[in-house]
Amino acid sequence: MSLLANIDGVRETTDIDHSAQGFHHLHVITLDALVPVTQTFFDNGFYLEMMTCQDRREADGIFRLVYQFCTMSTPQRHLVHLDIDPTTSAPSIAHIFPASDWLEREVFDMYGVGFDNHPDLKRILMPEAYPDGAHPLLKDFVDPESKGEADGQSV
Amino acid sequence: MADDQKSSLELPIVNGNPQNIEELREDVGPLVHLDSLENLLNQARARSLWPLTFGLACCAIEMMAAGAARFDLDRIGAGVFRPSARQADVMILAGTISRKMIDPIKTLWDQMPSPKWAIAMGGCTIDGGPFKYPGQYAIVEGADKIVPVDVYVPGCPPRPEALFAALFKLEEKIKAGKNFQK
Repeated sequence: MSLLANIDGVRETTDIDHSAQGFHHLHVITLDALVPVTQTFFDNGFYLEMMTCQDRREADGIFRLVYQFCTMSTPQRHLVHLDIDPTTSAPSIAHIFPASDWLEREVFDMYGVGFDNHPDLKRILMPEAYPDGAHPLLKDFVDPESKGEADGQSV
Repeated sequence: MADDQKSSLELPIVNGNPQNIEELREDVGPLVHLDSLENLLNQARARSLWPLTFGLACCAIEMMAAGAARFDLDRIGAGVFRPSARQADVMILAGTISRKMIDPIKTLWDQMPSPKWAIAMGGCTIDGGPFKYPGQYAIVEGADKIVPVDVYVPGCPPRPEALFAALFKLEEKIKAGKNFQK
């Protein structure tokens, strides 16, 4: 696959068995490559199917951002893995795919990953008054609003 | 006027303590009877329970089914779903209550004029249902943590017949008035 061949920062591209995994290609990229990679997918008629995050701090010391690009004209799905340091933020791609606006807000809400140049980065699922620094899908999350009632249940 | 008639108009002194209002009431009863009017109003209230158009999650689908032609809540006068809380009598809490919905629900409840009632429909509104586990961060474990609930309907979701049964139960409660026994 030569689609991303000319972009610096695409560290590794592997072909995947689509019938087993549901994807045709996996790209492992660096932080700098995200915007050019996204732009390339956009220019070639792909759409952003899904975006999420994995908390791999305990095993690998990283957050893994997962992007999924798809096109129907020549059916193919691309999986993009971007490993970032937990202290850094990722570039937003909302200026290319507006759909990623809310997806990035969700990742921020659930994992606390920041996105540079995001138009409106705030919580989307949890109440806006929810305590800062509390992100429910982190592996070490403890609900700060839990009252710790006698039956061991939160409110 | 005979002496015995005259004495019956005076308030009796119970146990030598005229301050004991409760005992006085038991002895002579209220001086003005409003109970008949109140009972009449309660009959009317019980037979025209207007619910708020308000669904929280999947139980609302069963609530809609109860209101539609096959089950037809209008048969018992409860099919007039009001789009405004100002006109509603009963809030049917149908579905999972996420924590983000606490404030809107409180606002709607406060906007409803008294007398008003609440029905907790489904397992989620009883105690959190399938979404309840230690340390959960997303839902409210029971509608009664937000509003005073009159009738609980178990089920996931309850069938329309169960919602009817809840409304009948609520009718009983309203008609009983202050004589209502749990």
